[in-house]
Amino acid sequence: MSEQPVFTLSTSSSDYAQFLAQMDDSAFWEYAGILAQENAPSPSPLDPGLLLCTLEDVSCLLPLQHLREILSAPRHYTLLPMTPSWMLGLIDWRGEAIPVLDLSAYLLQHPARSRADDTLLVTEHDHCFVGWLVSAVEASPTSLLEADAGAFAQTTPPWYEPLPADMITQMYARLPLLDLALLISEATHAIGSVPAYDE
Amino acid sequence: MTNDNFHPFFDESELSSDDLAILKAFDSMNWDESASEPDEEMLPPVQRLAPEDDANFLREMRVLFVEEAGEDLATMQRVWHQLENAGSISAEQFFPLRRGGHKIRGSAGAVNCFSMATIAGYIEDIAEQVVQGQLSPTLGLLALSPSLTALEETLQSVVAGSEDETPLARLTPPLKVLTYDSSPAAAPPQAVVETRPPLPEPDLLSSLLFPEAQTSSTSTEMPFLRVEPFRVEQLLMHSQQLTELRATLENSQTQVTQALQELHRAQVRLRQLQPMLSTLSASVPRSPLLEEQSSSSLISRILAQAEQRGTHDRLRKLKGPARGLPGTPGVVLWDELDMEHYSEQDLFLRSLAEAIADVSLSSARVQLACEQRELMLQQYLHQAAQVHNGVLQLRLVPLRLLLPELRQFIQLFSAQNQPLEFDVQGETVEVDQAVLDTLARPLLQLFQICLADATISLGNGERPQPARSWLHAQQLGNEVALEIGFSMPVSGGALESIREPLQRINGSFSLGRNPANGVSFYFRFPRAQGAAHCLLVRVGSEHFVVPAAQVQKISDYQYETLSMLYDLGTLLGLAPGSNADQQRVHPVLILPTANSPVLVGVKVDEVIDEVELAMKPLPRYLQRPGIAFSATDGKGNVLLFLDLPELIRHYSLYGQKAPMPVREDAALPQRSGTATVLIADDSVSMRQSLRQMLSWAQYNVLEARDGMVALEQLLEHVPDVLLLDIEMPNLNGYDLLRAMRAYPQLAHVKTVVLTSRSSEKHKGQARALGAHLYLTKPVVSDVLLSTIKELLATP
Repeated sequence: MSEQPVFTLSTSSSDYAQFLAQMDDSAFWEYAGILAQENAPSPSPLDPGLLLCTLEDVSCLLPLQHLREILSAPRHYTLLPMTPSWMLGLIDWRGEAIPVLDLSAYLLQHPARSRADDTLLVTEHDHCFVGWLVSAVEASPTSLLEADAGAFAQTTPPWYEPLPADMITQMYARLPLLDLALLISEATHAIGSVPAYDE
Repeated sequence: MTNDNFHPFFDESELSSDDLAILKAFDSMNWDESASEPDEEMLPPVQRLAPEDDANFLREMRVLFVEEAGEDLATMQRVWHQLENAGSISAEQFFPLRRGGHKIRGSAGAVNCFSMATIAGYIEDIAEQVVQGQLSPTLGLLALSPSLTALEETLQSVVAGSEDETPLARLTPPLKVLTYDSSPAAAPPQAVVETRPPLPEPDLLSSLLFPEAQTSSTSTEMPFLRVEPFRVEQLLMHSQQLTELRATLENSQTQVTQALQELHRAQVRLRQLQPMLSTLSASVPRSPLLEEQSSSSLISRILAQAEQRGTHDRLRKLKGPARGLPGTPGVVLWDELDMEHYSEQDLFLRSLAEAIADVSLSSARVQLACEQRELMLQQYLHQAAQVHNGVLQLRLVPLRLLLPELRQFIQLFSAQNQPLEFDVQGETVEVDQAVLDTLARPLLQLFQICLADATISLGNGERPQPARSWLHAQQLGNEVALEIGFSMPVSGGALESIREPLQRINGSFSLGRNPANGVSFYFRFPRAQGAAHCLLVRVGSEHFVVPAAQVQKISDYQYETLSMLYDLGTLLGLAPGSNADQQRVHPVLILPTANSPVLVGVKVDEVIDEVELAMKPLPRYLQRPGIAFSATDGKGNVLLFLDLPELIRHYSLYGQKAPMPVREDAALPQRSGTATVLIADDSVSMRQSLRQMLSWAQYNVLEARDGMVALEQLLEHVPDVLLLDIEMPNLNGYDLLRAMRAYPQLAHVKTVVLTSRSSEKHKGQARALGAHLYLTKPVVSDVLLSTIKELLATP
């Protein structure tokens, strides 16, 4: 590969086209393979089916397929007895009582915190509805990725290190893509496992 | 398997090829070896307690046992003959055989009649397998025949003075051929193909949707309109949402009213400010700007004189009819033709006065609009309620649609046994189709289970009055009260099938002895699904709803003598309330007492309102003990429905860390004295042996011969410990455990299930229903006594 011509991004697009045209088939495909390896996974373009969430001072990605609605943080939660500390309570969503969880608290296992400017993500998996409270969501992930890249790089070790491996589906630009279906399943299972009062 | 050991009844030469094929199929299975001979645990419960030289006691016990076992055996034989001659057999008809076998099995072991215990165990197991659908009723009857014969022969030998083991030895090999492996590892039960025609399966749903097909019950009425069910469901949902808007609208109305009040207060403040501002402006010197513009003191003086004159002139000009603003007491007078004489302050005051006038006018108009809106809102709400009720009525059907199936069963029962009168009242009471559909099958099963064992009491010829059963219905507001009564003892186990469906429709049950000295089951359930009459209560900052049916009255706790008082916040595991809440007088919800002298109360911070709410079941993972439903209030907040008896029961079992603040009450047993043990067992000999054992151990002992008597004893005396048999008439052990959950005053009773059923399934069921411990008969006296002692030491 050392014999391959070097091409820099500063070169114009017409030059780049000319550069590619000069290649024979084998050289072209070899070059394409190298580029593919070098650029994967690439921060951009992101999968359009992902949602970038900010959890206090860290971020993660969630798949949109389980998302049902994005709302502002509820003003009131109904307290359900015997629930984990990361659960804020119940709210009424389209006539159904659904639990609201602090996503950061759930992932890092600390007590839930609620702020008025939080965002609520209503998600669903296998007919189970769960509301997740996050600090913010970003509809155009690319810009946020560029803006927050420095902050993520400074996090050592990464914040998601304590998470079980199967909870992270993939990494995109150093951001963990969380398995939302698994999150919902495990969270509802944990909520449903009612301990006795004295346990 | 050798033919030499065969009972003559099962000689292969007498069997058809089909019978032989069936026998071959059973031959491939294994009989439970453990049941074929008495194991080491088959010791009498009083063996260690009674001195060996106390032969008199054992003789007395055997006399009691022989008499009791003889009656049970006669009953089982009678049932067997009835089933043999019946045209069709249902599994429920094997209940008396199962119960008889269970009873003799338990009591025979207590008097050292091990062969009888084993044979009776066979009978119980065979009947159980038929009931569970694992054995065909025909084969069950076939297997029971030699078992009953062997039991009779063995009993005769006991009467003669010595138990003969020959009938058991003769019985075991053919049963090994006829029966199956009952171990848990056995293959799952296959569906049994019954050669006799089964009882007709009621197709209630179709009969409800197309009632004109029920020729006898509806032929005289107007024809029904056929409507697609899903359209009715949609309409119902929309009307329900319309009704649910009521709270939102009322909330909105309240907010508008509050805003109006604030507007009015602001208007008053403005009016108060206006004269003050006028006075202030009069006392304030003229604008320094004018003075700065003056070029000399002379000019200033002239201007000042002109100002004074101007003011005087203005006042003079405006004397006469005041042209002030309405509501402004003549402070600001105004002449539009004299504009040049007015300062900026005057203009400001004028603007202020006009603004006040505008606000007043707007306020009056908004007030008027608000009143009209409130009027319209009332009309709208009334109309919405009418629409919703109308839609609900689309789904209403009379209770009499239940009757054909019930009457068919009663007729069948009367034909096979003895006449049974069936009385119905309130058959025109209407309920939601879904409610009726939910209850139809369980109610039929209740009759089937209750009457399966009634052959025993009906057939003994001792009852001067004909047996009766009845179904009485009554509409109580939005609820229906249903009584299903029997004038005679009935079989236990009836509540098992109906409790869960009843919970699904937010119904409740209770039971009691009726004037005919039989058992009545009382059910209450809403006419339509969803709506419930509730109390809205507050604990701390949280609001909850409690079904009104669970509250007998609300007390201020000042004049009530409560036996038990619980704090709702503690029951729910909530943090203590604020100081203000702790210092105020707390309302106490007094729970219905039934027939018990024990008064139970639940303290809350506030009873806010009485409301009608649409209940929705919570997803399974959100349900908690005593919390299974939710509703939404007018502000869109979730309200949790509380089942108070269930909360108390769960708290008593798992949550009690510190003693509750309970007032002293004579109705409660004195815990510091001798503990009281209630023995609930239908076997006289078993009760006798247990009574003697417990009396020697210095316990007060109460006895109950069946589940109904046990419940009465529990409510009247509230013992410390309940020793509970499973197989009992009227209410079996499981029924009693279910019934106890409705009485929070019984939550502290330590329950020990004492039965000969030893499977994990039974143990699990008993624990799930609230039993503290499970012991298998026969139990060694030391074990039982130490168990009771340990239980009593547990808080």
